Amino acid sequence: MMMLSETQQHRGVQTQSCPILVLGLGNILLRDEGVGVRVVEAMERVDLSPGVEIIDGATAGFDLIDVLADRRKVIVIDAIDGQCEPGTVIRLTPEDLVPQGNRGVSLHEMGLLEALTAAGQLGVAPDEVVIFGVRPNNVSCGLDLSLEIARLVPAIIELVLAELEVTENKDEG
Amino acid sequence: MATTITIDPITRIEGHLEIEVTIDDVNRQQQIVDAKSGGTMFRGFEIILAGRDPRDAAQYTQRICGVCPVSHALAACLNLDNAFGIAPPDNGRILRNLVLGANFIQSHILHFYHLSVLDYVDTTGLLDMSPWTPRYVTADMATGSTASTLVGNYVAALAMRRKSHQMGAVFGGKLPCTGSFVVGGCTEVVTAEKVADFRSLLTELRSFIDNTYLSDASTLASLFPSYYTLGVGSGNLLAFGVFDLDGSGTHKLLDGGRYTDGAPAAFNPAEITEYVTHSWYTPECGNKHPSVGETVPDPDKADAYTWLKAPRYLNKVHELGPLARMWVNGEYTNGISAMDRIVARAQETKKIADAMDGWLDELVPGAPVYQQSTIPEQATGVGLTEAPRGGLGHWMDIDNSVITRYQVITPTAWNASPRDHLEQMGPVEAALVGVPVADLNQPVEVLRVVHSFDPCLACAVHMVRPGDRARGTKVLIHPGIA
Repeated sequence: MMMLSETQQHRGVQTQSCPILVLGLGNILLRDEGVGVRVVEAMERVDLSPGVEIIDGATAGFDLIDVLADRRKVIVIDAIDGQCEPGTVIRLTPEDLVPQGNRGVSLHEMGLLEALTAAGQLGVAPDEVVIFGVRPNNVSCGLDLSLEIARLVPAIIELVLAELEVTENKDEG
Repeated sequence: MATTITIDPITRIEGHLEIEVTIDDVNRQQQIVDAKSGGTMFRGFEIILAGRDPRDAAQYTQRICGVCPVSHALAACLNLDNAFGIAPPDNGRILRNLVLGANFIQSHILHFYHLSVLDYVDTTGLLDMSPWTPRYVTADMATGSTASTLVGNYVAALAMRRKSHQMGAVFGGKLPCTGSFVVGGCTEVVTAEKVADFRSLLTELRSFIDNTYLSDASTLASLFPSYYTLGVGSGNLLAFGVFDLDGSGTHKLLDGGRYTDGAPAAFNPAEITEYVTHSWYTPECGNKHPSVGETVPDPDKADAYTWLKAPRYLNKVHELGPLARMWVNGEYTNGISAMDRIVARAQETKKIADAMDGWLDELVPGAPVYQQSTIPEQATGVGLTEAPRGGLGHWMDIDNSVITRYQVITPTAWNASPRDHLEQMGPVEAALVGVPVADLNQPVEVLRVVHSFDPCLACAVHMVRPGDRARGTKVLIHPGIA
């Protein structure tokens, strides 16, 4: 079991005021692959409670570790590769994910699952992680979401807001 | 009996580096008696830039490296300013310094916490997955609570690096590669709000540097004092100077200078020569000042072992970096060694971060940030500055309003250079000779010395030559394919 130094005064400066993180992941250069980022971009206009932070995580892997660190809850939105129709949205947890097969050659290979595992090794894993996975329709080069996926963005935001409400009720109750 | 060990790739650096050391018994101690440092990639940025609009240099050259791109942006812009015959207004000069400073802070924190310190700490049972394993483990590494203390700020340091780049993006637009550096200045306007945003992040960073980074570096040095005597190298230091404090070009936060054969001396860029005796370039590329430099690859060349040329100053080997900068400015005088490089780097971080607060006060909201210009029909230019790892130079010829020659010498070309025409070893090679290696299967001492230079060889595009499977991983980009 990892024992880290107790003098971690700089760790968690941010997470103390924002224990809940909404994290949009994806590559906006590949249309629907960037759905997670497009969702959090749209959420910038939504009024959220002060303890919630929204971050565009883009295609970061290793660099997500300090963003995920010490959060009470992380809600991730990302495109997923799964056995379902394009346009399907699934709620998952990290246990449902399959490792990408990191050969350990480059930091560019690290994805969300590896970043969460690494955060665990460093003793800063978030308490709870929920992933809203969106099966993409079109991942060719382009900056816009396909029409089918773009239409889903408001509904995905509703799912995230419902998840946030459940979290807040749990905290208060 | 002598043994040769090759470590390829060297990890926890930027880019692709191969180190070969020969180890033998000397006075009953197992130590390195010979070393070769090889840069194992080639991309041809200098070739790519030929024929292009000179202003593109500020964007293209940043892609040489994702850890220190701002230095290239600045060197290219100084090169362009020089060739175009213009100077930025004060706001533009200061904005360039502030974004570069943000990049320095990010890079130095990265180097200590994420690239270096793990050489000295046994993380078995702590960090048991990629990217931290596979790794060397030796008996002299810190364990237990000492290990936890040194690794304890790993995550905080990741956050600080992110904040550094958020700070730089206030005026840089985005980082790593900035879009706001142009010939004649900077394109981001100055507002009181932006100054406040920048300062708020800078204050957090300065607190981390003062209270955490400096003290962790000091802890490391106290645990491994023998590294104040190891990894010495040539003993010669060179700095080009960086962070112009006014428009004169001769007054900088860290002035240029030299320390050669034990004595301070002036820096004159005309006295730089590059050699290719052991580098994969045709002979005509050698024995040239970079203003007339050539880049013609020859991967089949006999006796060559690297893609790095061998830059020399008056035919002598010189080391570049934070230690060199702090030394020639009289700010660090303890010594030249692996540990001195680590400690000087930490102290330089504080010096730059503290100065940046004052520079914010000098910005004038609403005042011009750049000077308009037109591309000259014919010109030459030079841009000299410092990257986190040392002095950086860009040289350019313009004819018919396009680039006809572009040459870049990076600090790691100096530091990780091969032997030259006089068979003098480069700084990393020389620093390795004499270093004891306790366990031939765990040669972490090699990493400790190499990492102290903070090598940055930049990422490669690997292309294996058709039908040449026996050659291994030598790479070549055919000119004409961007």
